[in-house]
Amino acid sequence: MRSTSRHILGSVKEMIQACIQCGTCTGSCPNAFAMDHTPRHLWQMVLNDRTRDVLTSKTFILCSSCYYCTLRCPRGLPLTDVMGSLTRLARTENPTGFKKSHLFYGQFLQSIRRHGRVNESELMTLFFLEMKNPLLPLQYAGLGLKFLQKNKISLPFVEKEGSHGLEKIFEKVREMENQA
Amino acid sequence: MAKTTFLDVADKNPLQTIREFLKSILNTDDVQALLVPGRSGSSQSIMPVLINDPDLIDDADPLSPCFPVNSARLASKLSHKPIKGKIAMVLRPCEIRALIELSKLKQADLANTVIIGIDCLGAYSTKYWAQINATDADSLPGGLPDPGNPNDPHLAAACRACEHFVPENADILIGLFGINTTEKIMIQGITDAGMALLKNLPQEMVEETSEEPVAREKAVTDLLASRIEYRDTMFETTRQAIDSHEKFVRYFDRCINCYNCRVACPVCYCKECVFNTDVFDHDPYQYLQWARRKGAVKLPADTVFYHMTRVAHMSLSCVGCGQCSNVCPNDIPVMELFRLTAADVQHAFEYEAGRDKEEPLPLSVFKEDEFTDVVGIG
Amino acid sequence: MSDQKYNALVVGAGISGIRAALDLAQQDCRVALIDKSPAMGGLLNQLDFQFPSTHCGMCKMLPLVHRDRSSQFCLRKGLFHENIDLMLSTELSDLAGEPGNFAVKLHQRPTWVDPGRCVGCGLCESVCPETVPDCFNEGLSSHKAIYLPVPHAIPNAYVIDLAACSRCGACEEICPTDAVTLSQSNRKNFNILVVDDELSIRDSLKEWLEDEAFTVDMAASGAEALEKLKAQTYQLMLTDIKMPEMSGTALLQKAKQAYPDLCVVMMTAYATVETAVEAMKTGAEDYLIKPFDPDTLVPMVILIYQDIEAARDREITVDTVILATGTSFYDPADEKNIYGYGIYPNVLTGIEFERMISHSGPGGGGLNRLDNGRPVQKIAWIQCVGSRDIQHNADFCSSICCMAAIKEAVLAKTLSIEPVDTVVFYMDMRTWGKSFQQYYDAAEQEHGVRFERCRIHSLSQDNLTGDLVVRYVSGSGRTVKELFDMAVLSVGQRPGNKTEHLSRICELPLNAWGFFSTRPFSTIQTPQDGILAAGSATGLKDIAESVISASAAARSASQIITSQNRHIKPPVKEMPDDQTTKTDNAPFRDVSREPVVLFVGVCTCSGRLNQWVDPDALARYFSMDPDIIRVAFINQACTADGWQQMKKEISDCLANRVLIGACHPYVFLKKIRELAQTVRLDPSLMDVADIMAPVFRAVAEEKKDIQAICTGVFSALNSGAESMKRMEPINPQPIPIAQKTLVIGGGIAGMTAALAVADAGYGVDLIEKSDRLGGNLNWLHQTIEGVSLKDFLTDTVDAVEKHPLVNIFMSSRLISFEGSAGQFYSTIENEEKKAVDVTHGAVILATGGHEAKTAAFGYGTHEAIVTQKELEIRLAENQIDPAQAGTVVMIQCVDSRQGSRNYCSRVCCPTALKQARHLKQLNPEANIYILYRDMMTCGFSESFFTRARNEGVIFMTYDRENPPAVDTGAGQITVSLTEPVLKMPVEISADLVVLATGIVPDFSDDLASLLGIPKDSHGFFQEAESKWRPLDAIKEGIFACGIVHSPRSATEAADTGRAAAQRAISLISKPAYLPDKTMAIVRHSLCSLCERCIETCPYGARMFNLDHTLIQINELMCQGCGACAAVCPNDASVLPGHSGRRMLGTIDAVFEQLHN
Repeated sequence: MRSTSRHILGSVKEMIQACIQCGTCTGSCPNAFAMDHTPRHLWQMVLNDRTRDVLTSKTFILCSSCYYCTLRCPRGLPLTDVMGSLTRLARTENPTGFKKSHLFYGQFLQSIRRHGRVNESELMTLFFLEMKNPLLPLQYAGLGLKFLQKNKISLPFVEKEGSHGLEKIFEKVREMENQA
Repeated sequence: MAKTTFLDVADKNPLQTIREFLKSILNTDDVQALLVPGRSGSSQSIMPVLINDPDLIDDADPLSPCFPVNSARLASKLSHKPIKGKIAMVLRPCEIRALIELSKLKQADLANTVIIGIDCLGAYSTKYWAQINATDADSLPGGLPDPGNPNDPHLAAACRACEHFVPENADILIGLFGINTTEKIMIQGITDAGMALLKNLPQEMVEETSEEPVAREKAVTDLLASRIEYRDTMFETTRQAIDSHEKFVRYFDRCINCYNCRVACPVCYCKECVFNTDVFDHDPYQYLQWARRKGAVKLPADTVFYHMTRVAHMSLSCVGCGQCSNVCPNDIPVMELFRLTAADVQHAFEYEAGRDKEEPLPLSVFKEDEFTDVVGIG
Repeated sequence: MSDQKYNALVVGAGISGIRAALDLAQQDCRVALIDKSPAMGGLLNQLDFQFPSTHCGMCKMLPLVHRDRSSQFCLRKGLFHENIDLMLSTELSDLAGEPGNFAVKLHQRPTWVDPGRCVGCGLCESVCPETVPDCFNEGLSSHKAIYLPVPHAIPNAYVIDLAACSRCGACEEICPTDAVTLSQSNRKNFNILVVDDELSIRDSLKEWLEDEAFTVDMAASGAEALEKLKAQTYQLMLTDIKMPEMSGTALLQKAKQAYPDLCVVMMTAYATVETAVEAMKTGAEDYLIKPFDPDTLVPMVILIYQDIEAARDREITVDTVILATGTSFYDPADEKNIYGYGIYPNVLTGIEFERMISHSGPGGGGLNRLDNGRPVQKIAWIQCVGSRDIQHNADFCSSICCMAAIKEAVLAKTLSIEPVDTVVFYMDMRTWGKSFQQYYDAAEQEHGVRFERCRIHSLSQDNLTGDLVVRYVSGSGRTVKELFDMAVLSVGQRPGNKTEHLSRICELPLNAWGFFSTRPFSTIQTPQDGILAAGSATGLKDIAESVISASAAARSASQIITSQNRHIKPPVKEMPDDQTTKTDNAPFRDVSREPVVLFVGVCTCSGRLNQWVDPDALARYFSMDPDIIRVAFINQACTADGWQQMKKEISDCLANRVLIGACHPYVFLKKIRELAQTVRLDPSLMDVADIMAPVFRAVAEEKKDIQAICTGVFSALNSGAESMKRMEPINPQPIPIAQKTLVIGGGIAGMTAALAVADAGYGVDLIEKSDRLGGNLNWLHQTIEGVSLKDFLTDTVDAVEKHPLVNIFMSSRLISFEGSAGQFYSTIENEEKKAVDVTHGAVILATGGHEAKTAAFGYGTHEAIVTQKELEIRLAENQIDPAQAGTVVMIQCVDSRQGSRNYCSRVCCPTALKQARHLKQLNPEANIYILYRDMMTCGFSESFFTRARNEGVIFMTYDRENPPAVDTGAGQITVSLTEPVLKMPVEISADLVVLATGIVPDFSDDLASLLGIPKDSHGFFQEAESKWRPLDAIKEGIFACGIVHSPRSATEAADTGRAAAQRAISLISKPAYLPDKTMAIVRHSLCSLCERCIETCPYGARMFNLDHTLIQINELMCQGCGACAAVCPNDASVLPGHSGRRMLGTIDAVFEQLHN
């Protein structure tokens, strides 16, 4: 178990090996209050090969990529990238645990790819469909109504696909991912 | 822990009892001689006597109210170099305290001494004593002042202002306060050396160990209160007498630079005083300068300076024995000034002259944190 | 062509520079000590408090022996040693040649105020209209364009900040002593050529510069510029870089070829800043980034103008150079400025805080908020600002900030009137030096300073209250928001401003962080022969380490000088005028039996004095005194003519006492020494009375009360005369010195010290208790840098063994020790109980230390639990199979920094990193855990910490109260601890456990009592003063080096060896020592032997001589402080020259009145 788990976290671990647990990242993280493990914890868990704990953590899902930690890290570690790597890793290693976020992000990106921006109604509809949980929309109903009242949700309308030129970016990403 | 015993007074003559006690001490092996006030040979005056022959013990008169010299100086002469055995010394409390100071100044070695302290009933000035001694010598059996009247107005001012009438730092104490001295005399072995010596005394001499009489504490407390009262009035009077530069100079108006006070002072220990050396020698030109600056200059010019120097040198070690006033030919209240200054200075350094053999002289130790308001550190 | 020869040039007059200069000067080397700033003292000038005493104490560096040769002044005020020429506002501008013969160019920036004339009256300041931030107070206060660079220097002359000065001339006009010269008439003659292809730029530049009264010409192209240069002489050319046809860079090259003295400034847009920087290497003076405004251009041009016009360039030759240029500070207001420095008013740097709390600082010692002036109640210290930060190119630890912050927090706690809460936010508390850990503990436990182990990501300010908001992760892992009144940034250090410039001049390589590189096993020897470095110039050091490295550098410098065999004595420039032939060799006449003949020379300051005092009345008054032979009035004593007249008058009247009434007594210090040679009169019989101070003061205060001024002048003169009349001639008798040194201990420190002493030509007896030289180097194999120690050891042992002046006693020990500094008598005994008696002038203690033994963490119960030393040996002997060492746990601070061994051993953390990396190299798959409390990788060793982490070594902290547990049950070693970040239990099955047990000194009670010196609370050598005299024992003549002083690496130990050798040599460099003039004596006939003087003497210079029953004085130890004379009631103990009569006479004379 140990050797495999080490192998799983190996590449991530290399990225943060120089961490000195100074806590700057957690102090600067705007989302740390909601995380089950603060960034500082998370790195220490990675360094200590606590693979299971790491891959079941929701910390990296809550990362909003503000890059504050990366900016402030005295070791110059690419912490935001590490969050991303952990997200990808968790998705492959623990698909069920991250199904929800995986599907959400998938639909989020698809929506952008289609419209050049997020169409909230469409995103949520497709997300609910994919989650195949009839109770799920009820959980979001209250929030949705609030957003609606404040005009924060655009109504579904159809935009011409591909007209926004984002396709090139998606192509490039796929290319890079394939290379990786 | 002190060990208390009592001597039985025969014939209601405490002096003779004390003499017998001293004689037995002189008879012990280790004691070479006894220093005690007394009348030696044909002398009628009481002076310190160094007795070697126990048969001459009747010369001793340690209860006399005569106090012509402070024996600490003599004790220093007898002890500052190694001797074989020890010298027993019967001393007044102020003499012991001066001796402690001298030992700190390396002028005496207490290892060579057995100090027998005696409750001090005070003393008359030498002049007054000479007066009454000449006319009425026999009416004072053993010269014992009336213990019922410790505030006898004829007592020297220094004694009336003295709070240290019970000896401190003695090896053996002869107690008189709170005791009916026509019946008993209290003896205490204070130090190990003192107790060891008492052990060697003949059994019939001393009673079994017992407690200090209860009356003693009250007698001491009462006396202390009246002494402090006298002292504080004296301080106040003196303070007022010198509270300006002019008054201060006037205080020493009559001084003729005879230096008697210095000679009599037990803690003035210099081999050769600065005022005898070339240190403050002035050229004739200097006198003329002063005369020119002020128009006129009083001579001798350095009387106040002399006293200030003495205050600067010795007030930390002053034990208030009053010998300076005792010997002043012109009756300048030197003791009063010295005691006042000493009280202030010793208080400032939280020091008390003669209190503790181990307590260093304040000016010989450097404390970084003292007088922060003056030196500005901290 | 050089105008002066010196033995050494010391660059930088901070503490390292001063220490090195003093060390060399004490050995009769002539030293030029330069500093780029207008005041000496460096950084320490701004710091009033140093731990542990919270005092200054810089003066303790002044020589205790030969102190007559340097005035015993406060070192923050000035340095007056007869062998040191201190040149301020001076920089090294060029260096050529080789060791023993360097040609050096010095560039002195003008201050426009003649320090010889300025009396510091401050009138100029009161009229100056320009105000600028005060550098001394770190900009927390302001000063005028004419200002005092430090508040306390001597001479305390004003200087002008030329960049701020508007040349209004007000100061020049008001100066009562004509000290200011601010003429700008010469600006017309300063020709400037502006080259740019854009007309608008040319025009505006011309306009701006002509407004400043310069003469300006223009050229539109490089070709035109060259034409103009040919036609006329220009002093300055401003040229654009990007121009068609000929670029500015090309123009620069051509112009510089033809006119090497021409000064060129490049003008460039952002894009070509690199080109401009490149251009500076080919001779451009500076560059300007377009677009710029007159406020940028004009001060720069003025500075260049001032430099060119008024710079006093000097050429000297020296044998050797010591660079003691120190460091600068990281600027927290850099591009990110995450702490809002300069934006939030209550964010300060450490130095600013020190200025705040200083009594001479802007707040007068009060601690108030800078926004609303309210008392500060809560302060945060933020550590590692610009240190240990790879994002700021600082993969190093600045070494001093932790202790500085603790000290500042304690200062805030103790000096503030209001109660103050203090919190230090840190990553590792680096208490690596002697007594540091105890100080840290006291700060926490006694003073209540709070320590939070967390780095602060940034600061913000509550806009309403102005409070500073600190958000951090607390020990429990929670995010906490806390408000503070003030935040102090412990900013890291950076190389000194001029380091790169100097590296070019001296052709010295710099290390990765821009500090001067050094050779292996030395922190002071640069790769360039003859050039040494001291203090922080090669890396970050605290005061004690700087002082040590300075002495070590002085030793190496001295070695270069000695090898050139040419000590340059201070030149006696003026020969006797009357050509009297000397009848004997004594330098001065014996006047001890003559009656006093006093000459009084009064400088009338060009008649200025006569306005206030009637010279006739003065003359009349003094003529009444039979001791005064003559009163002469000299027009200007400070001029050559005036001085000549003074000398003639003195020689004519054959005076044996001289009093000069003038201004600025310190100006006459050197003149009097020269005069002493001329008239062959001991300089201590001459003095200068400052008679002008009352005049200047009255002028400054505009209280021109003639009577008061007259009285002041007269009092000064009269008391001076009285004091001189009573001055006795003092003729101290020389005492012999045994010019040998005893070194106890043959480890690397002892051997280095022995070699350093022997190389200087003095004999050494070296005692080694074992049968092998080398000490700990016999088992240490390589440094953390990976350099093998083997050659270092064998080379050193070889050199020691072969040195003809080193006498080695193997397997021997000291059994008897008597005497005092200058003459110690020792007996050395070997294994066969054969004893040898030896005599030395000085002793160097180098007994070292060893790895401490332990019984903790299961040591001794399992063969796989070893100490770091055992691991090092096993690794070197290949006893460890890397494959078997799959999991290694290293535990730091075993028995250290706690209990009875409450100190950091300093080497264990780097050693653990070294071993961990070594193991990782042997087996990359190995799991290496290092369990530590605070990682003590100070200075550049921090980078190895980073490397070790990058290489996969796993680090976990633990605290003193919760150490890890080692279980050896069932043959399997398990190390368990609670991981403090995760708060989770961790269990590690270890194949090997390595314990860092720290160092204990090898310094037996017997040896300490034999030498008569105390040990410190942990059994190490107790130094006389932990910061300023770190290697000196309290007992004069005994010095220590290496681990017996404090734990340290081999390289550092070797440097302490050199430094201790330097200290010893300064004592034994002469066969006889002439005691200093101010030395107490005893008049035995008066002495009552009360011994109060012995108790009082703070230097232990007095003893009771039992054989002769008298008080005896050790002439080397006596410092002439006079405490003995003060305590002696009857002047049996006296300080010659300070008799009671003289003192009283002087006081008396002050009150005398002059009646006309």
